[in-house]
Parts: sequence; structure tokens; C-alpha cells
Amino acid sequence: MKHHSPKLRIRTALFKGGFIHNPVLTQIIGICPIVMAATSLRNALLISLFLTFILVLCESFTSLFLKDTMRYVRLCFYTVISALSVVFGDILLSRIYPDFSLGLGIYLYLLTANALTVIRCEKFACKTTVRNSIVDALASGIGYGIVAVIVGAVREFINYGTVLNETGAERFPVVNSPFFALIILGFLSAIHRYIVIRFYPNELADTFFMNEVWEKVSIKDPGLSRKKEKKPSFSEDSLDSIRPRHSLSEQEENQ
Amino acid sequence: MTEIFSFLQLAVYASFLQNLVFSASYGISEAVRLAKRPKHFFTTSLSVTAFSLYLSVTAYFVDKIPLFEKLGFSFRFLFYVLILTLGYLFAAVIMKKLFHADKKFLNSLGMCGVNTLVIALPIIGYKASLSLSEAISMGIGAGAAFTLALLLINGGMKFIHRNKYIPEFMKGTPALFIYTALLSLALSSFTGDFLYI
Repeated sequence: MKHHSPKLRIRTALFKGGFIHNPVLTQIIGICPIVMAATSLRNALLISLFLTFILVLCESFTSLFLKDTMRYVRLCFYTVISALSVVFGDILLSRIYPDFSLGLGIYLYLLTANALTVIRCEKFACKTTVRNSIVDALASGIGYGIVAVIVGAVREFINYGTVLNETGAERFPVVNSPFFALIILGFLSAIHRYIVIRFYPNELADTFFMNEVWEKVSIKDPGLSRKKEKKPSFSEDSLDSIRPRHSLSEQEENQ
Repeated sequence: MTEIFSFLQLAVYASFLQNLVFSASYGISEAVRLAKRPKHFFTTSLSVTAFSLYLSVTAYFVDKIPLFEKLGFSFRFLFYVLILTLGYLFAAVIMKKLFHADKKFLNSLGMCGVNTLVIALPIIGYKASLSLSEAISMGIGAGAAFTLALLLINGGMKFIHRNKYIPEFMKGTPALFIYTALLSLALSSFTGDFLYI
């Protein structure tokens, strides 16, 4: 069975997949590692790199071999491929940098079950070409990574007063709690939403890249999804205030 | 009696005091997405509990095999993943062939089976050297924690959707993030931790 898909441009994928429909800020996908493990910029960068690597592997494999496989069988492949790549990466890095694994704890291994991998493979990679899949994986990974890096950098700066240099005692350990990360994500999401509404209002209605997942899986934003109601230029009250005075006298005369 | 008490204690701890979804963010993405389907709460909760229990208990027995004790954690983890995928595949085939489950159900079964909450359980069990009864209670507690998260997030979503006083740029996802953060703070307060301020 041949699948014909239009060529996905890198710029389009980065803009729409990475920014406009950012997996973290618009759909709350795969936030577990960001919330718990992105406590410093180094950790955030490592998580992003690992996830992008997993995404590229899974999406290209799906696009190559799993297009005509049943969905629930595909899911098993994603999980096993992710697990293998995480373990391989962990072993490789622990040989090169022995202290590396300590920073991420079990959250590195939990990237195996990251929802972003499954969603991108299911909704995009199994319907398109290998090239498009790789472009999409990179765009999603970069979009995810930018958010992770911002969260990690903010937390590290508040906690240690530095960036990319975690030394000394933690000043505010509360920064490492999920509460703080979710608050940062909330405000980042609000900024993102403001930028999209303000500068790219037309992008919200675009359905080329925004396939089924973006509409059904994402949280419905009432302000965005709702059609803009046409507001009357004058309300009843405002009409009263500008109604000519003589009309009242005319009414009185008529009465 | 002590065993039963320990069993209940850990189940309550995993679901309420140290709610795994809010305190450690395990499976929070899945909880948010599944919280939009209140009609399927029962089956979702049941599926998550079943998978948690299955993996938690199976991993306990796997950890007892001497061969795995010699191997590193990475290979042990790979084996957990293999057990989970086989369990999920078996459940999906059974549901499709015997109960003629539809596509939507199979999709949500995937979310319930393969998520960070379920995969984290054998790792927690291994690191904490849990006993069999503790592993069982951890599995049930994780399912209860997920159910509680579904209910709380669903309730919050409704309020956020109805609230007219939320500024335009904070509507939807940003408001849900803040709401989840507050839930996380509220549930972590049960543990007695202070905010270090």
C-alpha cells in the first residue's frame, strides 16, 4: 500500500509543530520529565536530546515498517524501541560520563513511555514518508526541548543563581517541586497563547498540519476554538445614550 | 494484622498522601487527556489499576530471579518493558477478539497501559525493596491515585470552562496548568513537607 504525502517543509514543521501547536504548552503532552527532571539547564538539555533521538528513531521506523500494522501492535513497537534507545544511550553516556545518570534518576527511563512519541507516531508518522517523519520528529523535539530548557534554566537560576553551573547549596528547594514547574509552564503557556492570539490568529484555523490529534486530544480552549461572536456595534444602552433628544418629545406628542 | 495494616497504609499513601500523579507527575499527561471523557472513568480507572497491579506484582517476582540480580538495572528495566508490552498486547487482543472492543476503547487502553505511572511502579518497587503485599498495595494505590487525578482534573476543567473572569490569554491550557499546580501543592501538603521559605 503506497502512501503519498506532500513534502513537509522544515520551516513549516518548526513553526507549526514546534511553536504554534507546541506539544507541551498547548496540549500538555509528555510533561512528566519536564516537571520532575528539568531542575537544571543541563538536565533539561539531556532530556530534550534523548527525547528527540527517541522521536526520530520511532517515527522513522514507524514510517518505514509499521504503516500497515495494527495500532495496538504498533504501540508495543514504540515502547520497545524507546526502551532500547534509552538504555543504549544511558549505557553509552554512563561510560563516557560516570556521573551523568545520577542527575536524571528514573526519569530518563520514563522517557520510554512518553506520550509525545506515541502521539506523533500514531497521528503523523504512520501516514507519511520517512523524510516527513524525521522532519516532524525534529520539530516536535525542538518544540519540546525549548520549553524544557526554559523551565530548567529558570529553576536553576532561582535555585543556584547560575546557569549551566550547579554548584553550592540549593537556596530554594521548593523550586524543584512539581508545583513550581507547573506554575512556570502555566505562565509560559499563557505567553504562548497571547503571542498566537495577537500575531497569528489565522493559524488557529489551519488544518493542514493540525490533524486529528490537535483537535481531539488537545484541551479545548474555549476562547480559541469558539467562533468569534459578532458583537453589535451598539448595545441597547449605548443606543439610548446617543438617541436624539427630539425623538422623546416626538413620542410625547404622539401620545 | 501488621501485614494488612501495612498494605492499607501504603495504598492510602500512594493514592492520597503521596499521590503519584500530582506529587511526582507520573502519568499526568494521560490523566489530563483522559479526564475529558467522564463517561469512561470507570473503565479507565479499572484498566490503569489492572496494569499497575499486573506490572508491580510481576516485577516483584522477576526481581527474585537470581539471573536478573547479576544484570544491571538497564537490563532489568528492559525486561519490565517487555512484560508490560506483552501484557498490553494480550489485553488488547482479548478485548478485541472476545469483547469486540471498538477503536476508541483500544486507544484509551493504550494510554492506560503504557504510561509513565505504570512503568514507574516496578522501578519504585525495586528501589524501595517492597514486599509482595506492599507491591500489591502500591499497584492498587497507583490506580486509585490516577482515578483521583481524573476526578479532580475533570472537575477543574468544568470550572475553568465556565469561569468568565479568567483573562483571555489565561483561558484553557494555561489555567489548567495553574490549577494542576495548585492541586499538586495541596496534595503534597499532606506529607507534612514545608515550602522552605
